[in-house]
Amino acid sequence: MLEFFKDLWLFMRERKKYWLAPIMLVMVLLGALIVLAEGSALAPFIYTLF
Amino acid sequence: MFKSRPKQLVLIAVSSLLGCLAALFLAETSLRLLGVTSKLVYSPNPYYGWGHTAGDKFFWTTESRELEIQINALGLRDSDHSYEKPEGTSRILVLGDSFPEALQVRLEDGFSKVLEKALNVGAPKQIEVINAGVSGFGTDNALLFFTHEGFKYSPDIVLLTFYVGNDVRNNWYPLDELDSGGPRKPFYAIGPEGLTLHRYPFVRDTAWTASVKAFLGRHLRLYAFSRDIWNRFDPRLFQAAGNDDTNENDVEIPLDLPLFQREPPKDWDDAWQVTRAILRELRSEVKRHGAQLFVVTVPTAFQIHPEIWDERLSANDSLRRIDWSLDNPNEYLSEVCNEEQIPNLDLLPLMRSEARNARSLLYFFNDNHWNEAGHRFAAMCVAEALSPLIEESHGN
Repeated sequence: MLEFFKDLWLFMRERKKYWLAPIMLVMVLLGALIVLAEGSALAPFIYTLF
Repeated sequence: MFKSRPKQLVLIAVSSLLGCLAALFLAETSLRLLGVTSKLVYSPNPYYGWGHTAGDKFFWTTESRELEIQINALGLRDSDHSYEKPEGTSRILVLGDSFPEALQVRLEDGFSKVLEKALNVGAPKQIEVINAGVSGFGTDNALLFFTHEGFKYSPDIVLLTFYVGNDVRNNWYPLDELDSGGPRKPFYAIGPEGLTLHRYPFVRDTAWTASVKAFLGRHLRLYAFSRDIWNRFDPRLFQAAGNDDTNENDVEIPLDLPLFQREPPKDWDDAWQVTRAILRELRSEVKRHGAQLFVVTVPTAFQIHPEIWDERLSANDSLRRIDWSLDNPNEYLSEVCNEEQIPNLDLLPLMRSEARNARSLLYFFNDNHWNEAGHRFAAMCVAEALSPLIEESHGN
Protein backbone atom coordinates (compact mmCIF):
# COMPACT_ATOMS: atom_id res chain seq x y z
CA MET A 1 0.00 0.00 0.00
CA LEU A 2 2.80 2.37 1.01
CA GLU A 3 4.57 1.50 -2.25
CA PHE A 4 1.48 2.55 -4.19
CA PHE A 5 1.39 5.99 -2.57
CA LYS A 6 5.12 6.40 -3.11
CA ASP A 7 4.69 5.63 -6.82
CA LEU A 8 1.79 8.03 -7.02
CA TRP A 9 3.85 10.80 -5.47
CA LEU A 10 6.77 10.14 -7.83
CA PHE A 11 4.36 10.24 -10.77
CA MET A 12 2.91 13.58 -9.66
CA ARG A 13 6.39 15.03 -9.13
CA GLU A 14 7.72 13.76 -12.44
CA ARG A 15 4.74 15.03 -14.45
CA LYS A 16 4.30 18.12 -12.27
CA LYS A 17 0.66 17.23 -11.71
CA TYR A 18 0.49 18.56 -8.17
CA TRP A 19 -3.19 19.38 -8.61
CA LEU A 20 -3.85 15.66 -8.19
CA ALA A 21 -2.57 15.80 -4.60
CA PRO A 22 -5.68 17.36 -2.97
CA ILE A 23 -7.91 14.90 -4.83
CA MET A 24 -5.91 11.92 -3.56
CA LEU A 25 -5.73 13.35 -0.06
CA VAL A 26 -9.47 14.04 0.20
CA MET A 27 -10.45 10.65 -1.21
CA VAL A 28 -8.16 8.77 1.21
CA LEU A 29 -9.41 10.88 4.14
CA LEU A 30 -13.04 10.40 3.17
CA GLY A 31 -12.60 6.64 2.83
CA ALA A 32 -10.97 6.42 6.25
CA LEU A 33 -13.68 8.53 7.87
CA ILE A 34 -16.49 6.47 6.35
CA VAL A 35 -14.90 3.26 7.67
CA LEU A 36 -14.32 4.81 11.12
CA ALA A 37 -17.83 6.27 11.28
CA GLU A 38 -19.39 2.89 10.50
CA GLY A 39 -17.58 1.24 13.39
CA SER A 40 -17.94 3.94 16.00
CA ALA A 41 -19.44 2.78 19.27
CA LEU A 42 -20.64 6.32 19.88
CA ALA A 43 -22.83 6.45 16.82
CA PRO A 44 -26.08 5.43 18.50
CA PHE A 45 -26.22 8.31 20.91
CA ILE A 46 -25.48 11.29 18.80
CA TYR A 47 -27.27 12.90 15.96
CA THR A 48 -25.92 16.20 14.75
CA LEU A 49 -28.63 18.77 15.34
CA PHE A 50 -27.43 21.95 13.69
CA MET B 1 9.57 27.50 -23.90
CA PHE B 2 10.26 28.31 -20.22
CA LYS B 3 7.59 30.29 -18.40
CA SER B 4 8.60 33.26 -16.22
CA ARG B 5 8.56 32.68 -12.43
CA PRO B 6 5.42 34.78 -11.65
CA LYS B 7 3.55 33.04 -14.44
CA GLN B 8 4.65 29.68 -13.08
CA LEU B 9 3.45 30.60 -9.58
CA VAL B 10 0.08 31.70 -10.94
CA LEU B 11 -0.20 28.43 -12.84
CA ILE B 12 0.58 26.39 -9.71
CA ALA B 13 -1.91 28.41 -7.65
CA VAL B 14 -4.68 28.05 -10.23
CA SER B 15 -4.09 24.33 -10.74
CA SER B 16 -3.98 23.74 -6.94
CA LEU B 17 -7.26 25.62 -6.57
CA LEU B 18 -8.83 23.60 -9.36
CA GLY B 19 -7.44 20.43 -7.76
CA CYS B 20 -9.05 21.36 -4.42
CA LEU B 21 -12.38 22.13 -6.10
CA ALA B 22 -12.26 18.85 -8.02
CA ALA B 23 -11.48 17.02 -4.74
CA LEU B 24 -14.49 18.58 -3.00
CA PHE B 25 -16.70 17.82 -5.98
CA LEU B 26 -15.55 14.19 -6.01
CA ALA B 27 -16.07 13.86 -2.26
CA GLU B 28 -19.60 15.27 -2.51
CA THR B 29 -20.43 12.95 -5.42
CA SER B 30 -18.99 9.93 -3.57
CA LEU B 31 -21.08 10.65 -0.47
CA ARG B 32 -24.22 10.91 -2.60
CA LEU B 33 -23.40 7.68 -4.45
CA LEU B 34 -22.71 5.90 -1.14
CA GLY B 35 -26.08 7.05 0.20
CA VAL B 36 -24.63 9.11 3.07
CA THR B 37 -27.53 11.40 3.94
CA SER B 38 -27.58 14.68 5.79
CA LYS B 39 -28.57 14.51 9.42
CA LEU B 40 -28.77 18.28 9.74
CA VAL B 41 -32.52 18.41 9.43
CA TYR B 42 -33.48 20.37 12.57
CA SER B 43 -34.04 24.09 12.89
CA PRO B 44 -33.37 26.04 16.09
CA ASN B 45 -36.42 27.16 18.09
CA PRO B 46 -35.96 29.85 20.76
CA TYR B 47 -38.68 28.43 23.03
CA TYR B 48 -38.11 24.68 23.07
CA GLY B 49 -34.64 24.27 21.52
CA TRP B 50 -35.20 22.87 18.03
CA GLY B 51 -37.70 21.09 15.88
CA HIS B 52 -38.56 20.07 12.36
CA THR B 53 -39.54 22.42 9.58
CA ALA B 54 -43.18 22.12 8.56
CA GLY B 55 -43.58 20.28 5.26
CA ASP B 56 -39.90 19.27 5.11
CA LYS B 57 -38.88 16.17 3.17
CA PHE B 58 -35.49 14.48 3.52
CA PHE B 59 -33.66 11.16 3.39
CA TRP B 60 -32.45 9.34 6.50
CA THR B 61 -30.05 6.38 6.52
CA THR B 62 -29.98 3.78 9.28
CA GLU B 63 -27.59 0.85 8.95
CA SER B 64 -27.40 1.22 5.15
CA ARG B 65 -31.18 1.53 4.69
CA GLU B 66 -32.37 4.84 3.31
CA LEU B 67 -35.88 6.13 4.06
CA GLU B 68 -37.67 9.17 2.76
CA ILE B 69 -39.07 11.16 5.69
CA GLN B 70 -41.99 13.53 5.37
CA ILE B 71 -42.63 16.14 8.06
CA ASN B 72 -46.27 17.18 8.37
CA ALA B 73 -47.76 20.64 7.94
CA LEU B 74 -47.38 21.39 11.66
CA GLY B 75 -43.74 20.29 11.88
CA LEU B 76 -44.18 16.78 13.31
CA ARG B 77 -42.82 13.47 12.02
CA ASP B 78 -46.36 12.22 11.52
CA SER B 79 -49.28 12.24 9.11
CA ASP B 80 -51.35 15.43 9.12
CA HIS B 81 -53.33 16.39 12.23
CA SER B 82 -55.24 19.57 12.91
CA TYR B 83 -54.96 21.47 16.18
CA GLU B 84 -58.71 21.13 16.56
CA LYS B 85 -59.74 17.78 18.00
CA PRO B 86 -62.37 16.04 15.87
CA GLU B 87 -65.74 15.41 17.55
CA GLY B 88 -65.97 12.06 19.34
CA THR B 89 -62.21 11.44 19.32
CA SER B 90 -59.79 10.85 22.19
CA ARG B 91 -56.29 12.16 21.65
CA ILE B 92 -52.91 10.97 22.87
CA LEU B 93 -49.97 13.28 22.39
CA VAL B 94 -46.63 11.44 22.38
CA LEU B 95 -43.70 13.52 23.62
CA GLY B 96 -40.09 12.41 23.65
CA ASP B 97 -36.90 12.06 21.66
CA SER B 98 -35.70 10.02 18.70
CA PHE B 99 -37.50 6.87 19.93
CA PRO B 100 -41.04 8.09 19.22
CA GLU B 101 -39.76 10.26 16.36
CA ALA B 102 -38.69 6.96 14.76
CA LEU B 103 -36.75 8.21 11.74
CA GLN B 104 -35.16 4.75 11.49
CA VAL B 105 -38.39 3.04 10.39
CA ARG B 106 -41.30 3.82 8.06
CA LEU B 107 -43.98 6.01 9.62
CA GLU B 108 -46.53 3.19 9.74
CA ASP B 109 -44.02 0.93 11.57
CA GLY B 110 -43.23 3.54 14.23
CA PHE B 111 -44.35 3.43 17.85
CA SER B 112 -47.14 6.04 17.56
CA LYS B 113 -48.82 4.56 14.48
CA VAL B 114 -48.68 1.00 15.85
CA LEU B 115 -50.05 2.25 19.17
CA GLU B 116 -52.90 4.06 17.41
CA LYS B 117 -53.79 0.95 15.44
CA ALA B 118 -53.71 -1.26 18.55
CA LEU B 119 -55.83 1.13 20.62
CA ASN B 120 -58.50 1.45 17.95
CA VAL B 121 -59.18 -2.29 17.80
CA GLY B 122 -62.67 -2.62 19.29
CA ALA B 123 -62.57 0.88 20.80
CA PRO B 124 -65.97 2.54 21.30
CA LYS B 125 -64.49 5.89 20.33
CA GLN B 126 -61.86 6.90 17.74
CA ILE B 127 -58.39 7.30 19.26
CA GLU B 128 -55.86 9.55 17.57
CA VAL B 129 -52.19 9.29 18.49
CA ILE B 130 -50.05 12.32 17.61
CA ASN B 131 -46.31 11.82 17.37
CA ALA B 132 -44.40 14.88 18.63
CA GLY B 133 -41.05 13.11 19.22
CA VAL B 134 -37.93 15.06 18.21
CA SER B 135 -34.35 13.76 18.30
CA GLY B 136 -32.29 14.99 21.21
CA PHE B 137 -35.25 16.16 23.27
CA GLY B 138 -34.94 15.85 27.03
CA THR B 139 -37.87 16.18 29.43
CA ASP B 140 -37.11 19.91 29.53
CA ASN B 141 -37.63 20.25 25.75
CA ALA B 142 -40.79 18.14 26.05
CA LEU B 143 -42.20 20.40 28.77
CA LEU B 144 -41.38 23.56 26.81
CA PHE B 145 -42.80 22.03 23.63
CA PHE B 146 -46.00 21.15 25.46
CA THR B 147 -46.48 24.64 26.89
CA HIS B 148 -45.90 26.28 23.48
CA GLU B 149 -47.24 23.85 20.97
CA GLY B 150 -48.45 20.53 22.40
CA PHE B 151 -51.42 21.85 24.38
CA LYS B 152 -52.94 23.21 21.14
CA TYR B 153 -53.86 19.66 20.14
CA SER B 154 -56.14 19.35 23.23
CA PRO B 155 -54.88 15.89 24.16
CA ASP B 156 -56.67 13.70 26.69
CA ILE B 157 -53.49 11.85 27.54
CA VAL B 158 -49.91 13.09 27.23
CA LEU B 159 -47.56 10.16 26.88
CA LEU B 160 -43.96 11.01 27.69
CA THR B 161 -41.36 8.51 26.51
CA PHE B 162 -38.39 8.82 28.86
CA TYR B 163 -35.19 7.37 27.39
CA VAL B 164 -32.86 6.47 30.25
CA GLY B 165 -29.93 6.45 27.81
CA ASN B 166 -29.65 10.25 27.77
CA ASP B 167 -32.76 12.07 29.02
CA VAL B 168 -31.41 12.63 32.53
CA ARG B 169 -28.28 14.19 31.05
CA ASN B 170 -30.31 16.26 28.57
CA ASN B 171 -32.22 17.81 31.49
CA TRP B 172 -29.16 19.14 33.31
CA TYR B 173 -27.30 21.77 31.30
CA PRO B 174 -23.75 21.28 32.72
CA LEU B 175 -23.84 17.67 31.53
CA ASP B 176 -25.81 18.31 28.38
CA GLU B 177 -23.42 21.00 27.24
CA LEU B 178 -20.50 18.59 27.50
CA ASP B 179 -22.14 16.85 24.57
CA SER B 180 -23.41 19.80 22.57
CA GLY B 181 -20.17 21.75 23.06
CA GLY B 182 -22.10 24.79 24.31
CA PRO B 183 -25.58 26.16 24.97
CA ARG B 184 -28.26 24.87 22.62
CA LYS B 185 -31.53 25.53 24.48
CA PRO B 186 -33.10 27.24 27.53
CA PHE B 187 -32.39 25.34 30.75
CA TYR B 188 -34.04 24.60 34.09
CA ALA B 189 -32.37 24.82 37.47
CA ILE B 190 -33.58 24.57 41.03
CA GLY B 191 -33.34 27.82 42.97
CA PRO B 192 -34.74 28.97 46.33
CA GLU B 193 -38.13 29.34 44.67
CA GLY B 194 -38.11 25.89 43.12
CA LEU B 195 -37.75 25.12 39.42
CA THR B 196 -36.75 28.15 37.37
CA LEU B 197 -36.30 28.59 33.64
CA HIS B 198 -33.16 30.37 32.40
CA ARG B 199 -31.74 31.65 29.12
CA TYR B 200 -35.25 31.94 27.76
CA PRO B 201 -35.99 32.51 24.94
CA PHE B 202 -32.71 31.19 23.61
CA VAL B 203 -31.27 32.46 20.35
CA ARG B 204 -28.29 30.31 19.37
CA ASP B 205 -27.15 31.91 16.14
CA THR B 206 -27.78 35.20 14.50
CA ALA B 207 -30.31 34.89 11.72
CA TRP B 208 -27.76 34.86 8.92
CA THR B 209 -25.33 32.31 10.42
CA ALA B 210 -28.26 30.00 11.21
CA SER B 211 -29.56 30.23 7.67
CA VAL B 212 -26.10 29.70 6.12
CA LYS B 213 -25.60 26.59 8.30
CA ALA B 214 -29.08 25.32 7.48
CA PHE B 215 -28.44 25.86 3.76
CA LEU B 216 -25.08 24.05 3.85
CA GLY B 217 -26.54 21.22 5.95
CA ARG B 218 -29.40 20.70 3.55
CA HIS B 219 -27.52 20.97 0.27
CA LEU B 220 -23.95 19.81 0.92
CA ARG B 221 -23.60 16.25 2.16
CA LEU B 222 -19.90 16.87 2.70
CA TYR B 223 -20.69 19.62 5.22
CA ALA B 224 -23.30 17.49 7.00
CA PHE B 225 -20.97 14.47 7.03
CA SER B 226 -18.07 16.51 8.44
CA ARG B 227 -20.28 17.92 11.23
CA ASP B 228 -21.49 14.43 12.06
CA ILE B 229 -17.95 13.05 12.22
CA TRP B 230 -16.78 16.01 14.30
CA ASN B 231 -19.54 15.35 16.82
CA ARG B 232 -18.82 11.64 17.03
CA PHE B 233 -15.15 11.98 17.78
CA ASP B 234 -15.26 15.15 19.82
CA PRO B 235 -13.13 14.47 22.92
CA ARG B 236 -15.68 16.34 25.05
CA LEU B 237 -17.90 13.27 24.69
CA PHE B 238 -15.69 11.46 27.14
CA GLN B 239 -15.15 12.35 30.73
CA ALA B 240 -13.10 10.75 33.44
CA ALA B 241 -15.08 8.72 35.89
CA GLY B 242 -14.34 9.18 39.56
CA ASN B 243 -12.49 12.17 40.96
CA ASP B 244 -10.59 14.94 39.21
CA ASP B 245 -7.10 13.73 40.13
CA THR B 246 -5.82 11.68 37.27
CA ASN B 247 -4.17 8.44 38.20
CA GLU B 248 -3.64 5.12 36.55
CA ASN B 249 -7.00 3.86 37.82
CA ASP B 250 -8.95 6.57 36.02
CA VAL B 251 -11.23 5.24 33.33
CA GLU B 252 -12.40 7.09 30.26
CA ILE B 253 -16.11 6.48 29.95
CA PRO B 254 -18.63 7.81 27.42
CA LEU B 255 -20.70 10.71 28.67
CA ASP B 256 -23.99 8.96 29.41
CA LEU B 257 -22.67 5.81 31.03
CA PRO B 258 -21.98 7.11 34.59
CA LEU B 259 -25.76 7.07 35.16
CA PHE B 260 -25.55 3.28 35.03
CA GLN B 261 -22.84 3.03 37.68
CA ARG B 262 -23.84 1.64 41.06
CA GLU B 263 -22.82 5.00 42.50
CA PRO B 264 -22.98 7.73 39.82
CA PRO B 265 -20.87 10.88 40.28
CA LYS B 266 -22.40 13.91 42.09
CA ASP B 267 -23.42 15.73 38.88
CA TRP B 268 -25.94 13.00 38.21
CA ASP B 269 -27.71 13.61 41.55
CA ASP B 270 -28.25 17.21 40.45
CA ALA B 271 -29.46 15.98 37.07
CA TRP B 272 -31.99 13.67 38.76
CA GLN B 273 -33.22 16.46 41.05
CA VAL B 274 -33.90 18.74 38.09
CA THR B 275 -35.47 15.86 36.17
CA ARG B 276 -37.86 15.16 39.03
CA ALA B 277 -38.84 18.84 39.26
CA ILE B 278 -39.41 19.01 35.47
CA LEU B 279 -41.60 15.90 35.59
CA ARG B 280 -43.63 17.46 38.40
CA GLU B 281 -44.02 20.65 36.38
CA LEU B 282 -45.01 18.70 33.26
CA ARG B 283 -47.63 16.79 35.25
CA SER B 284 -49.10 20.11 36.52
CA GLU B 285 -49.08 21.71 33.04
CA VAL B 286 -50.73 18.68 31.48
CA LYS B 287 -53.36 18.63 34.25
CA ARG B 288 -53.97 22.37 33.83
CA HIS B 289 -54.90 21.65 30.21
CA GLY B 290 -57.35 18.93 31.25
CA ALA B 291 -55.19 15.93 30.31
CA GLN B 292 -53.33 13.21 32.16
CA LEU B 293 -49.62 12.46 32.02
CA PHE B 294 -48.35 8.92 31.48
CA VAL B 295 -44.62 8.14 31.49
CA VAL B 296 -43.11 5.25 29.52
CA THR B 297 -39.54 4.36 30.46
CA VAL B 298 -37.56 3.46 27.35
CA PRO B 299 -34.54 1.25 28.08
CA THR B 300 -31.25 1.33 26.19
CA ALA B 301 -30.23 -1.39 23.74
CA PHE B 302 -27.42 -2.53 26.01
CA GLN B 303 -29.85 -3.06 28.91
CA ILE B 304 -31.96 -5.36 26.73
CA HIS B 305 -29.35 -7.22 24.69
CA PRO B 306 -26.34 -8.50 26.68
CA GLU B 307 -24.40 -8.95 23.43
CA ILE B 308 -24.55 -5.17 22.82
CA TRP B 309 -23.29 -4.48 26.34
CA ASP B 310 -20.47 -7.00 25.83
CA GLU B 311 -19.59 -5.26 22.57
CA ARG B 312 -19.31 -1.92 24.40
CA LEU B 313 -17.12 -3.46 27.09
CA SER B 314 -14.90 -5.05 24.45
CA ALA B 315 -14.54 -1.72 22.67
CA ASN B 316 -13.28 -0.11 25.88
CA ASP B 317 -11.76 -2.71 28.16
CA SER B 318 -11.27 -0.28 31.05
CA LEU B 319 -15.07 -0.16 31.48
CA ARG B 320 -14.83 -3.62 33.04
CA ARG B 321 -13.19 -2.06 36.11
CA ILE B 322 -16.37 -0.11 36.94
CA ASP B 323 -19.12 -1.35 39.22
CA TRP B 324 -22.23 -1.26 37.03
CA SER B 325 -25.86 -1.53 37.99
CA LEU B 326 -27.63 -1.29 34.65
CA ASP B 327 -31.19 -1.27 36.02
CA ASN B 328 -30.55 1.62 38.43
CA PRO B 329 -31.94 4.50 36.31
CA ASN B 330 -35.16 2.63 35.55
CA GLU B 331 -35.74 1.72 39.18
CA TYR B 332 -35.08 5.27 40.29
CA LEU B 333 -37.40 6.75 37.65
CA SER B 334 -40.19 4.38 38.74
CA GLU B 335 -39.67 5.55 42.31
CA VAL B 336 -39.86 9.20 41.21
CA CYS B 337 -43.06 8.57 39.21
CA ASN B 338 -44.66 6.75 42.14
CA GLU B 339 -43.79 9.53 44.54
CA GLU B 340 -45.04 12.18 42.11
CA GLN B 341 -48.17 10.12 41.40
CA ILE B 342 -47.49 9.85 37.70
CA PRO B 343 -48.61 6.58 36.09
CA ASN B 344 -45.53 4.87 34.67
CA LEU B 345 -44.67 1.83 32.59
CA ASP B 346 -41.08 0.60 32.56
CA LEU B 347 -40.45 -1.33 29.34
CA LEU B 348 -37.16 -2.80 30.62
CA PRO B 349 -38.41 -6.11 32.12
CA LEU B 350 -40.94 -6.65 29.33
CA MET B 351 -38.49 -6.03 26.49
CA ARG B 352 -35.74 -7.99 28.18
CA SER B 353 -37.87 -11.09 28.51
CA GLU B 354 -39.26 -10.68 24.96
CA ALA B 355 -35.72 -10.43 23.55
CA ARG B 356 -34.67 -13.48 25.52
CA ASN B 357 -37.75 -15.59 24.69
CA ALA B 358 -38.12 -14.62 21.05
CA ARG B 359 -34.34 -14.57 20.55
CA SER B 360 -34.70 -11.54 18.35
CA LEU B 361 -33.21 -8.07 18.31
CA LEU B 362 -35.58 -5.26 19.28
CA TYR B 363 -32.98 -2.61 18.47
CA PHE B 364 -30.75 -1.94 15.49
CA PHE B 365 -27.36 -3.32 16.42
CA ASN B 366 -25.27 -0.22 15.68
CA ASP B 367 -27.82 2.57 15.61
CA ASN B 368 -29.28 1.41 18.95
CA HIS B 369 -32.79 2.72 18.31
CA TRP B 370 -35.77 0.38 18.12
CA ASN B 371 -36.14 -1.61 14.92
CA GLU B 372 -39.63 -2.51 13.62
CA ALA B 373 -39.97 -5.36 16.13
CA GLY B 374 -38.97 -3.01 18.97
CA HIS B 375 -41.53 -0.37 17.97
CA ARG B 376 -44.25 -2.99 17.62
CA PHE B 377 -43.53 -4.66 20.95
CA ALA B 378 -43.23 -1.36 22.86
CA ALA B 379 -46.49 -0.08 21.34
CA MET B 380 -48.38 -3.26 22.25
CA CYS B 381 -47.15 -3.10 25.86
CA VAL B 382 -48.11 0.58 26.13
CA ALA B 383 -51.52 -0.04 24.54
CA GLU B 384 -52.27 -2.59 27.23
CA ALA B 385 -51.07 -0.31 30.02
CA LEU B 386 -53.07 2.63 28.69
CA SER B 387 -56.40 0.80 28.52
CA PRO B 388 -57.66 1.90 31.97
CA LEU B 389 -56.75 5.55 31.25
CA ILE B 390 -58.45 5.39 27.85
CA GLU B 391 -61.63 3.98 29.39
CA GLU B 392 -61.47 6.79 31.93
CA SER B 393 -61.14 9.40 29.17
CA HIS B 394 -64.03 7.80 27.23
CA GLY B 395 -66.15 8.13 30.33
CA ASN B 396 -65.48 11.90 30.53
